[in-house]
Amino acid sequence: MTQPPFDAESYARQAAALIALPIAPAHLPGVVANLQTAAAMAALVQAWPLGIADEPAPVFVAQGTQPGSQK
Amino acid sequence: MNAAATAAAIRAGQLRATEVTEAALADIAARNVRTNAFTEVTAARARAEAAAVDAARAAGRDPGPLAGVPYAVKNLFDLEGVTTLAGAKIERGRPAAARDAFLVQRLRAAGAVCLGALNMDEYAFGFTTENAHDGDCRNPHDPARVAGGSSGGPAVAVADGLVPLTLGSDTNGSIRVPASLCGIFGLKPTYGRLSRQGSYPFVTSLDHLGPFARDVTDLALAYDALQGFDPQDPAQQQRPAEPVAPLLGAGLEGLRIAVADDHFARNGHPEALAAVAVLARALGTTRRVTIPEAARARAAAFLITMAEGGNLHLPDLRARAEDFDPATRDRFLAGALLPATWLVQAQRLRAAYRAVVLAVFETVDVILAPATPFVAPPIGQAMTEIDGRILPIRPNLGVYTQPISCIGLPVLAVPLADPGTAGTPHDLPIGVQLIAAPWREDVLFRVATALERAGICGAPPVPA
Repeated sequence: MTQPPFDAESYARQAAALIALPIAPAHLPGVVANLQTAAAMAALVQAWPLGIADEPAPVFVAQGTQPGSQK
Repeated sequence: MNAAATAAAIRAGQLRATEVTEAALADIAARNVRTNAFTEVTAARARAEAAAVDAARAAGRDPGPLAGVPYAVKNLFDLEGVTTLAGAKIERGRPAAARDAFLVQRLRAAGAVCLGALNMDEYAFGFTTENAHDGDCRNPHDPARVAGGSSGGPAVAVADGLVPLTLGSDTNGSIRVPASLCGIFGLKPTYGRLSRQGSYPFVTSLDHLGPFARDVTDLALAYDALQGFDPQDPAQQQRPAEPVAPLLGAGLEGLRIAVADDHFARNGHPEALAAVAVLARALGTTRRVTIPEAARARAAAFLITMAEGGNLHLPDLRARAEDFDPATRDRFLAGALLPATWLVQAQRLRAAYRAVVLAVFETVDVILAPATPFVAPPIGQAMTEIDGRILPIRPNLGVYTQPISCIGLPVLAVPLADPGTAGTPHDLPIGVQLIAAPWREDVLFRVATALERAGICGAPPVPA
């Protein structure tokens, strides 16, 4: 099955509706161009083969009392 | 006079902080119009701080290592009593900051005197400091050219000699890019080294703060004063302060230095690569090293930046998108729409990439790489040719910096003292990134000092 081409304008309209973000007609071409750039960047990122041990970079710290903490 | 000499003279009683402050205020009033670096001058605050320094010395108290040294900050740092603009029209209606940012508190405690706030790209989302609300910040080496960004005001204020020290922020290159284009030193410390509390965030996964200066001594003086643990920055690591000033004369012995190839040996104009070669020759290194997958890391940083930035500003994007700078608005809007899987994959890639790059540092201590792909372009120019392709200038200014800040490595951007040795167009400034393993700012300062003492690195004079 071949992948249909990415329709950035259609995606922008649908995703914006999903998150209740109005996009003025004058801003739509710029949004579409930026989504297309992001898609190219995402293709590079998605092509790195990651395994289940590859956790996301940010480390959440359950605060509590750290040495030196004033909280 | 540099910061170190100013502080020494004031500490010795040969100069008063109030005299230095008045001279700096008069200089800014006369010359800021040429570059538009300052967006706010805090004259009353500066006079009060200077008087306090003079009073401390008169009373026999230590006025601090930066006694009476004028400085200014990118206008995303909180200054008590001043509204934090972050380069945005939207912020102008917000209340004034209730207290200083943590790093401003540190400089005040060291005796430094704050002269004001500096121009930047809106919400730090840019590499040129072309700001629709505050006006473009212009490069003192050629006012028709960009300053670089997003910390353009801080780089220009130092390059033009308005103040010897400034503070900026760097998420994808925003200290290193303007440092290169304005020909000064800029430090992006390890992610988590310096507290970001009281600075307007952009992308908290990637945000760093750091100083600019015209020489390595001043940069070290500032960096040492800025270190200190702050439990209110959740990303800051609790480490003891590691001062670098005592190490500046330690030399290069035992240091393994190499030049980055692959991604860092293409994607730029000849002068960017020639600048690296000049430093490599001076350091006597012929070694090459590969930072693997830099283009993918840059892509990951790009997606994380768009997604976090878009999310941060979503309430204003919904309510008042028209009030954003046209240069940032559509990128923020698009960033708010990115699918979650792209962001998560980018964060996972970032961790995997960190592992492969840390392996590189098992065989090398300092890596040389270009800081910017070209010298400062003319204000308003959109496109340039790179490796035979016509590409947009603004995103490509970060082509060499983004893969490094993506994993928080410390970088010292050093300027070529004589840009002509790299054949830069019109002798415009250009810099080089010195890159080390996490927490090894010390080796960066040793290499920078050696290059400065050899006359290879230094802030080129601004044409009269």
